[in-house]
Amino acid sequence: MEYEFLLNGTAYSIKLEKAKSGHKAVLGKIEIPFASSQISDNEYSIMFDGESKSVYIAETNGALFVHINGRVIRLDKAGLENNNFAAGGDVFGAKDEVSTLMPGKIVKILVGEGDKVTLNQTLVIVESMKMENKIVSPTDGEIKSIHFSDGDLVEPGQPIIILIPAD
Amino acid sequence: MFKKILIANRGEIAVRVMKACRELGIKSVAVYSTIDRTALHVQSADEAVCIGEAPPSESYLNIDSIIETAKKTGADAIHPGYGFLAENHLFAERCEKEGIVFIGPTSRSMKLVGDKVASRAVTENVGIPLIPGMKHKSTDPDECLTAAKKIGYPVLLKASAGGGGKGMHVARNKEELKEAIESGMREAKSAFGDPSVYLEKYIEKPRHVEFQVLADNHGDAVHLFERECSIQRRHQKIVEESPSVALDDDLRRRMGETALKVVEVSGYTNAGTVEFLLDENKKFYFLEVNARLQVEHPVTELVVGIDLVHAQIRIAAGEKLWLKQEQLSQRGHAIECRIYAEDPENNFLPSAGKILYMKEPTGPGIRHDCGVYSGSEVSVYYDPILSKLIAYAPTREICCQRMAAALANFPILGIKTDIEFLKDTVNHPEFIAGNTFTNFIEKNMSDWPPETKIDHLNRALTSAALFSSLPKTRISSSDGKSSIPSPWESLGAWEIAGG
Repeated sequence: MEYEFLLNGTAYSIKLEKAKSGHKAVLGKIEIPFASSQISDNEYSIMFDGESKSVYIAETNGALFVHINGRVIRLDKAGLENNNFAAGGDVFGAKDEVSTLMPGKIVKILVGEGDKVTLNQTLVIVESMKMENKIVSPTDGEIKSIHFSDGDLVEPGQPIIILIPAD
Repeated sequence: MFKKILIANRGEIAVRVMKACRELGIKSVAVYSTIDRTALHVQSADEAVCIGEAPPSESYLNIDSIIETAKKTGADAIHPGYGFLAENHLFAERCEKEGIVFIGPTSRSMKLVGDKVASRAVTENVGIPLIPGMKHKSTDPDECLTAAKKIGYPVLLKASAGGGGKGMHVARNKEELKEAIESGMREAKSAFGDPSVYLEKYIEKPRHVEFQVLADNHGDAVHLFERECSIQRRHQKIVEESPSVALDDDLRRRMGETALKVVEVSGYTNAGTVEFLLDENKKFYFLEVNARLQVEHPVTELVVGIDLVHAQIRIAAGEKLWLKQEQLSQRGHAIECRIYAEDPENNFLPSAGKILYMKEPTGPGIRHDCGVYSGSEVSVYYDPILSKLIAYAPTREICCQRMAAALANFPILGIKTDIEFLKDTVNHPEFIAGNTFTNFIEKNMSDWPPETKIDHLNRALTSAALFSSLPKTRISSSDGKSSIPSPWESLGAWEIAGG
């Protein structure tokens, strides 16, 4: 069986094959022998070369959260659009769009259409979970359009401001 | 003693108070908002009443609705937890008027200590050391700018009514202060309903050290030693410990005496916390009194051996203080880490969503005060604290290791949390060395997270592929055979509901 996952936009292909004892994973030239036992839907005991690891995994909308060695790695199943935006650490949208990672209320838009802005300049203040967060410009450029007003509720990923990046 | 206590809060603290009620043979009443129907605190109470819609102003801050619920359910006392109405003197006053015991200080002393400016005036009179600052609160930006010039930059802007870092900003010059005033007043208005702010000198590289106090209604008080809470982000604590490595016996005694003096002059009763800043030269400044049970109260409980919620309830019920200062001592070391739904890689931005899976850490010396479970929805409406992990050990060194190990075995999947960040914090050589100053994160954690090691990634990918290849809700191992035989297969025919 072959699987493909995305980590921060990079695709990784991985094959699972039977091995002498248990299984092996094949990633390009690397082979990783392992033997596993499923403890529950979300919990696995895996032996990597005799090293015993508890691995916890959960999935939602094509996003896999893998907890191993005290760290969570989020892997997205390749070929799936619309991976759950709010669930993970997505970056701001395109470089010419300003959006928020959290649902929230727009407290104040600090710029107007046609304004020249600089990288990291605060453009919008959004309140989420009782905290004010500054949304900064991802680039030097000019404000092309503004799509919300003060007091509006905004969802993650919705463009609040469209920019024309400076060259 | 009370028969029934209403807990005017949610999350881990509501659950923690309910447990204390049960231990004391007192019935508990949960209140909840419409989106909290399946929240853990609702499941943990003896009774539960929906008090309004999701926005806090309509539910957990809705005084009328909470009072009405207390009357309807026959609760004779209300525990406010922390946050929400815990330090709202109007709520305490309303309880007093309605003949319901408010488990906390009187509205009068709460009003005094809650007003940072009024409390400064009272404490300054009796010679308690204070940080230079404005004499009164203000809503006038020009007045603040003039005051800042006199105090000298950098200055710290705070919400007059606030706590928890909300509305708090550091300004290093006039331009930064202008921006901070605007933002701080808005946050203060939104979080506390009062836009007033005040300014004080910002002390660089301090430690945050606070003293837990207990005062009964009969004029007696003790302190339960210190907690150091220097590890903060957004001016909000995330790691707390007791004892503090910065205190020796003499300093501890002097700070404890000062804390009790603050309690005395403000007529404070019940459990409270006297906060200090300790500078590099071991000079301490009184900051404020937190008129509530603190988030970090468990570290004191473990080190001093006193259940603070029990103590709060007994004092509120009118008991005389059963503790003498000279009987109290600190034993061992405790560290608490606050587990927040937030993204440390993204300026600690709160992270809402569903907890797909979680497993609570256990083991010797591990306590987990938790308000969520696998399947919980973390809402955008409330403070993103999920739980608190507390480690206790004979020494600080073992305590750090115990905490790090527990954090490493604490999966919460589906939302972002600060667990990995906390693990790397308590594992940091500077933390282990006790070099804990309030700029710790800025100074030591700015290059976090560490890069993902290729071996680690490969193992994660292997696990993800394995997960994707297996059918769910079936126990099996990688050789394809079922590792735990189902009783239906192994035991032959079962007789269902036979006889």
